[in-house]
Amino acid sequence: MPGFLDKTLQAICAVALMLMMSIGAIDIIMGELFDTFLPFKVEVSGYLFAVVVFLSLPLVAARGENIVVDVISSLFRGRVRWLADIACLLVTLTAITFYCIAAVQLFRFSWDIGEKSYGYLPIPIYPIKLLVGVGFGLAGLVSVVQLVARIRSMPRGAGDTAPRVGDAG
Amino acid sequence: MSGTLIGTSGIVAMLALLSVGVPIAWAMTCVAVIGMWLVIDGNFAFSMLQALPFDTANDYNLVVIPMFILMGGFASRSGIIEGLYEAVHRFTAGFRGNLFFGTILAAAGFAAASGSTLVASTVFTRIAMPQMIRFGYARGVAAGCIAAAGTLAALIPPSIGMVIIATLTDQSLGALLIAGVIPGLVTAMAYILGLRLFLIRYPDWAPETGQRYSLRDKLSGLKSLWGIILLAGLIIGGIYAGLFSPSAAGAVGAAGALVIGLAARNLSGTDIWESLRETTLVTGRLMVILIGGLLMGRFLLISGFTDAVSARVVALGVTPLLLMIFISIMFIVMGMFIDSMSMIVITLPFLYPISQALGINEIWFAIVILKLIEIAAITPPVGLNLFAVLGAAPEVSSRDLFRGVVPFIVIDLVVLALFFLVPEIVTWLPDTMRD
Repeated sequence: MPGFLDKTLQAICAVALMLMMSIGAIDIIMGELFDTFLPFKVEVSGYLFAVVVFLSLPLVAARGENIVVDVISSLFRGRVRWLADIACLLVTLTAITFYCIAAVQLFRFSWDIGEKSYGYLPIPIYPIKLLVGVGFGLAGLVSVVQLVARIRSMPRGAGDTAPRVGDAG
Repeated sequence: MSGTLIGTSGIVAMLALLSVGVPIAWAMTCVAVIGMWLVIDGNFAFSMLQALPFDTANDYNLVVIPMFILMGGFASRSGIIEGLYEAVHRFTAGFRGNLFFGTILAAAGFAAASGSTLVASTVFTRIAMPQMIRFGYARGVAAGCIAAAGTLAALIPPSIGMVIIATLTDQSLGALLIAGVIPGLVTAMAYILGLRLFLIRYPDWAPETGQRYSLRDKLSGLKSLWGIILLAGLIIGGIYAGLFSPSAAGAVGAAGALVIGLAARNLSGTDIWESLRETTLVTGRLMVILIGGLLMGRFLLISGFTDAVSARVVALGVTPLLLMIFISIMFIVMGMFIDSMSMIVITLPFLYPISQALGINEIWFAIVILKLIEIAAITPPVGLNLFAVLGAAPEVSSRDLFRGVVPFIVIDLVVLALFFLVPEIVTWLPDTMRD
C-alpha cells in the first residue's frame, strides 16, 4: 500500500481513537462532577469506532496480520506453499467481495433516504456507511496486489524464497 | 439437504479452509454466507452481510475493545509497571523465590490496567527476567513464571477476551468483567502457594538473593503505586458500583493512563503514536474476526445445527460436568496448536448454546472457557505467551521454557478443578452486583 495512504489511514484512526477516549472521559467527568452528561456520546463514539474498524482493514491486510491457524499450513514448502497462498488469497478476495457488494447496497439505501442518526445529533449516516465499502474495497485492492505478486513469484525448485502473504503490501 | 447436514458441512469446510492457512475471519465469512445462501437464499445472506458488520462496528458497547487496548498501550509505556514491580519486589525481598512472587503480584496489579496477556508477558520479561538471571534463578522456571503471570491479564478486568466472549454469547459484559476478579486473584495466590511448595522440593530454582529493604524503603516504593491503584479503582470500582458502563470505564482508563504517563514524563509523542497505531491494528484484527464469528454463529443457528446438536446432547443424557470435562480436554489439546482468540471464535458459536441447553451458569461457563484458554496460552508448543517471552528473552531456550512452565500448568489445572468444585468463586461477586 502506498506510504501516504498508509499514513493517512493511520492518522485518521489515531484521531478517531483520541476523540473516542476524550468523549468517554469528558462525559464521565462532567456527569459525575456537574451532573451533565454528553447526550451525543453513544452515537458519536459508535461512529468513530466504525471509522477505526473499517479504515484499519486495509492496514491489517497490507501487513498480512489477519489471524491465521497455521498448524498445518506452516508445514507447506515450495510449490505447495505457493498454491496454498494463492488459494488463501482467492478465498480472502471472495469474502471481501461479498462484503463489498453488501456495503454498496448498504450505502445506496442510506444515501437514497438521506439517512440520519436518530440520536441527539442528526448526523448523516451515509458517509460512515460509505466507509464500510471504502475499508473493504481498499483491503480487497491490497489482496489483489498480494495475489499478483504471489502468482509472479512461483518457485521453480523445491526451495522457496518467495515472499509470504503480506510482504507485497 | 437437511440444515444439520449443511451446518456440519459448513464446520468441516471452515476447518478445511483454516488448515490451508486462510485467515479465520475470511474463512468464516465465506462459509457463513454460502451456507445461509443454501439454507435460505442469497437475499437473506446479503441482508445479513449488510447489517451485521456495520451494526457490530457501530456498537457503543464494543468501544470498550479499542479503549482497553489503548489503556494497556499507554500503561505499558508510562513506567507504571516498573514502579509496580519495584514496590512489590521491596515487600517480597527476604523470601526465597521473592522475584517469582514479585513478578506474579506485579502482574496481577498490572492486569488491572491492561487486558492483553501478550503485553504483560513481554513487558515483564523485559523487567523481571534480567534480575532473575542475575540472581541465578532457573531460567526455564523464571520464563515460565513470567508467561503464567501474564495470563492474569485475561481474568482480572479489563480483559479483551471477556469482551469477545460477552459479544459472542450476548452476555452482560459488566457482570462478566467483575466475575473475573476473584478467579484472577485466586490464580495469583495459587501460583504463589504452589511455587512455595515446589521450592521446598527444588530450592535451586530460586537461590536466596540476600536483598533486604528497610521499612522506609518499602514505604517509599509505594509512592509509585498511585497510578495503578487509581486506574484499577476507576475501572473495577466504577463498573462494580454501576457508575459507568465498561465502554466508559475503558475511555476513562485510557485517558487516566495517558495523564499518568504524561505527568510522570514517561510518555513521549512517539509512545503515544505507537500506542494509537498498535490499537488501530489490533482493533482491526479483532473486529473482523468477531464479525466472522457472529456470522458463523447466525449460520449455525439458521441451519438448525445448533438446536439439533443441543437436543442430541440433552437426549444422550450428557451431564453438565461431563460436557465441561470434555470441553476442558478439547481446549487444552487444541490450545497446544491453535491460538486463544481463534479457539474462542471457532468453538463458542456451537459450544455455548449446548452449555445453555444443559443449564450451565453462563458466567461460570465464560470464566472457565477463559481460564482454559489461558492454560492453552502457556501450553507448549503453540502457547502465545511462551512465544512472547521467548521473543523478549533470547537468552532463554524454548526447551528450558517448555520444561519450566510445567509447574504453572499443574497449578492452573488445580485452580480449574477448584472452579469446578466451588463455582461460587466465579459466581459470587457478579451475583452481589446484580443484587
